[in-house]
Formats: sequence, C-alpha cells, structure tokens
Amino acid sequence: MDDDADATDVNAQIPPDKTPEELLSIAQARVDGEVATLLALSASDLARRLLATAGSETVSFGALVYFIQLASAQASATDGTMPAVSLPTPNEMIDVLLERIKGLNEQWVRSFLALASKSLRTNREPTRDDLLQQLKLILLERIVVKHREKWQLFFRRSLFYAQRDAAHAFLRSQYGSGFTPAPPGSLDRILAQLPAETHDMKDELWIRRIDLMRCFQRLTEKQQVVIIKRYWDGLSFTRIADEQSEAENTGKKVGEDAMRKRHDKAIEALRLCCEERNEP
Amino acid sequence: MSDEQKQEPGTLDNGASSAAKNYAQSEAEYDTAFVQIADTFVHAYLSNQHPRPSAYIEKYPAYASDLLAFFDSFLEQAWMLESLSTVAPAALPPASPTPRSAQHQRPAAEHHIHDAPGGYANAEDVDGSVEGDSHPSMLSLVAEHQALYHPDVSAPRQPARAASSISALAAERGIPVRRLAANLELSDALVHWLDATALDPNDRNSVPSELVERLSQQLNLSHADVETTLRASHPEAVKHLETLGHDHLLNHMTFRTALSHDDTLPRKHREHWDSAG
Repeated sequence: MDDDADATDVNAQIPPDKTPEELLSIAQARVDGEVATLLALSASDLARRLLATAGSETVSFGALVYFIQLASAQASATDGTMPAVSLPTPNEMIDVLLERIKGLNEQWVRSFLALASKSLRTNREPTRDDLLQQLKLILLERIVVKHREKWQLFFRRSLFYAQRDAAHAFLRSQYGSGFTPAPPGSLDRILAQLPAETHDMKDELWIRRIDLMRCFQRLTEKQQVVIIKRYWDGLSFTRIADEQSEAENTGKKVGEDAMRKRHDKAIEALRLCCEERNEP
Repeated sequence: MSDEQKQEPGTLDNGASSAAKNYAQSEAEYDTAFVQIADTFVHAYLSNQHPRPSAYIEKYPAYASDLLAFFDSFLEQAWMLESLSTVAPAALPPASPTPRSAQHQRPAAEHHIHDAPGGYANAEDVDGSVEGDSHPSMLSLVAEHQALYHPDVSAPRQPARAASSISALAAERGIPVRRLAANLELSDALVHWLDATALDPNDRNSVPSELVERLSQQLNLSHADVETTLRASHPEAVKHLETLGHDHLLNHMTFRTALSHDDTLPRKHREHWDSAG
C-alpha cells in the first residue's frame, strides 16, 4: 500500500492514541503532502495519475477530490486569479471517481433494490440507472458545486450519507406526498440531544454527522459500546446492562443505572467536543 | 471475510490503525472487503435475521467508522422503503419521466444541473433532499403528510377480522410492524409487546382511548374491534401502560426506542409530539 494511498481515511495507518483533532490534522497533512507531490509532476504524469482507475498509479480519494475541486474552480474563474494548473477536466475526473467507487455504489444499488423488491408492492421499482444517476447528481452538487472539503478527508462516510440522500431524493421524486420521511437515524438522534448551538445549523446534516463521528472517536471504548448498542442496535438500558455484565465479565453485575450514567457521560463528552469544534 | 480479519475488540481508532498496520490493504482491497461485510449484513437483514450492528462493529473493528455510517444509511433506507410498502400502487402519482443521464453534465456549472430537463434531475431536488433531512424540515414534512399519521377517519371501515394480535391485524393489511409503530409514535418493541401481552377484558377503563383511536385509524377498524384485540390475554399490560403513563406512552415514545422510560428522547421530538398531541 502506498504511504499516501489512504489519506481519505482519517483512521488509517496512524497511532491509536490520537484525538479527533490530531487525526484530522494528520489526515489533512497527508492530503496536503500528496497534493504537493502530485503538483510537482509534469502535466502528463499528473493527468495519468489522476485518471488511473486501478493499481499503484491511483491517487487517494482525498487527493482526487481536491483536484476535481481545483479543476472546477479553474473552469469557473474568469478573472485570472486562479493559478493555472494543467489538469484533466472535472468531468473526466468525476468519471474516474465513479469508476473507482463502482463497487461501493453497486453494493448500495444491490441492497436498495433488494429492499425495494421486498417492501414495495408495485411494479414501479426503481432501476439501477435511476439510482446511480440520482447519486451522481448529489456527488456533483456536494463535491463540485459546493466544494465540500470534508470529502477530501472522510470520503467513504460522506459517500454513505450521499447514498442515503440519493435514495431519499429518488423516493420523494417518485412517490411525492405518499412518501413519509424516515425517522431520525442513529447519529441524528444523538445530534438531536446536543444543544442546537453546539453545531452550526447552516451546515448540512451530513456534515454534522461527519463531525459527530469524529467526536465519537474521542469516547472511551465502553462509552462507544453503550452508544452503539443504544442507537444502532436500539436496545434498552436494561438489555445493554445485561449484555455488558456478560461481556465485561468482572463478576459484578452492571446495573441499568450505570449504563444510563455511562450514556449520559458519553453524550456530555460529545456535547463538549462539538462545542470545542465550534469555537472560533 | 477471512477469520484473520477478526481482531480483538478495541476502540474504533485502535481497530482501524491495527488493521492498517497488519493488513496493509489498498483502498481497493479495503472497499472489496467492506462490500463483503456490508452484503453479509444486508443478506441477514433481508432474511429477517435481525443482525446487530454492534456485532459487526465488534467483529470488524478495522471498518468500524465506515460501518457505523453504512448502518446508519442502510437502516434509514430500509425504513423509507418499508414506509412505502403501505402506499397502494393505484394511489401513486404517475412515474416521473426517465431522467436524462447525468453522464455528460458539466459538474463545474451549477446551471447545467438546474437546466436538466424532465424528471428529478435538477439541483432543487438535490437541495431538497439535503435540506429535507434536517430535523425541522423533516418534521415539517411529517406535518405536511398528516394523512399518513392520521388517515381519513371518514373512510369506510373494513369489517372486523378475527386476528389474534395487533401485528397480525396489521399484517393482514400489508402494514409492517415497523411502519405501524412509527405511525403510532410507538416503538416496534412496544407493538410486539402489545401482542405478547394485552389488556384486562373486564376493565373497560384500562385501555388508553387515544391508543385505541390511533390503532383504529391505522388498522381501519372500529374502536370495539381494537379493544377486543387488545383485551385478548393479560392484565399485566395495563399495569405497564399505567406505569408508563398514557401521555408518556403516546407523546414521548419515539420510533425505535421504547419501554425504557426514555429520558434520552430528543427534545425536539418531545416538543413536536407534545404540540402535535
């Protein structure tokens, strides 16, 4: 694996004792370093690396997103303020990006269609092409039009939320008023417990989710377990306490109240983390 | 996935970094392995095996951060599709025209997306999908579609059917329990619990009238039919309902959390349902 091959994953190849802020700095430094290295290449070599879809020539997702955004900004700038870098077109690089995430997107389409065939009692099932087009539009909007930098650092997580939003947009477009929005998901229910002032409400929800995931990594392992079982598994505190009594195997029963306290401390830690992140 | 990829449970960071050190996967290999894990989960979900996200996080800590986002996304999509399962096909609007392929749209130019003709291929739809996810927007959408939560009571009632439980009645009408629970502002667990227990047949005052009303609307049954079903077995349910308190039960229960005196319920939702109730 190239040293810089996974710069998009903030967790990869780094020591485990880092804070979310340190993880972010490391990931950002990786992307910056890779970008600087790529910018030193000749135009033809740079284009070859950016357009590679497999093998050792490929750049990281983060770097690819950076160059897509750079090419897009260059194309939009008409006043000569952008430094000229010879790059493939945004469209060419978007196509490369889509090719490289084909497996993840096919998995999403496969899952969605399987769910649809199980749930929808209609012959108007979505098609693979419909879904992929909707997803592509969202990727274009978030990466290219709005130039969201978080895609450089948290590519996969951003992609999963984009897939969810593509499904939402597709179903709304197809079913209109017959479509009920989903209840809040796991992260959203945690977000809803944090005071509104701890996050910038102007941010789109997926950005707040990504930020919350980073703060989530600051929690202790036991706190993470409680949060995951509570919000992803949907368990009651009683059930979590029973399971943790068994898992922690200390010979002492873990009480429901202890689980509540652990949960409350985790939420408080998330709140503090979000507040820190919003300080100027 | 090979057993080698099962690692000692640790924090998300520990897992990810040890995986990176031990397996030195490329991004492509990482994605391939991730897809296998995701497919396994989806298969288990579709097979009604009720897979636990936490079990996958524990088994594959190297993928924990991405798996959490994946589960969050997948389960919301599953809910969305389940919610549509009760929409009668005849009531659906005409299908949108097949959208133009986005393959050749220029990503750098926003107006190109706006200009996409036909179907849903425009930035407003995309923006709508994004902003529609925020809690205030989502709740306002729910408010706009009250018919789904409070169907037309003037609609002709179906004749009473001999069914043994609330979920059986719902199943006869093609309503998944999860959907029914959401529409009742209760949890899946509580609906199943209502099935497993039930109300005292001799105590006519013990059935929360608002719960009966909502079940009646959702299942298109008379109040008497609902009460008869609820009174099918055991009085323990009444005590539990009283313990929870009707107001708490009907207004403070959220979709997936229940039976735990849910003091963690999002404040916004409590306020929403309080005001709606």
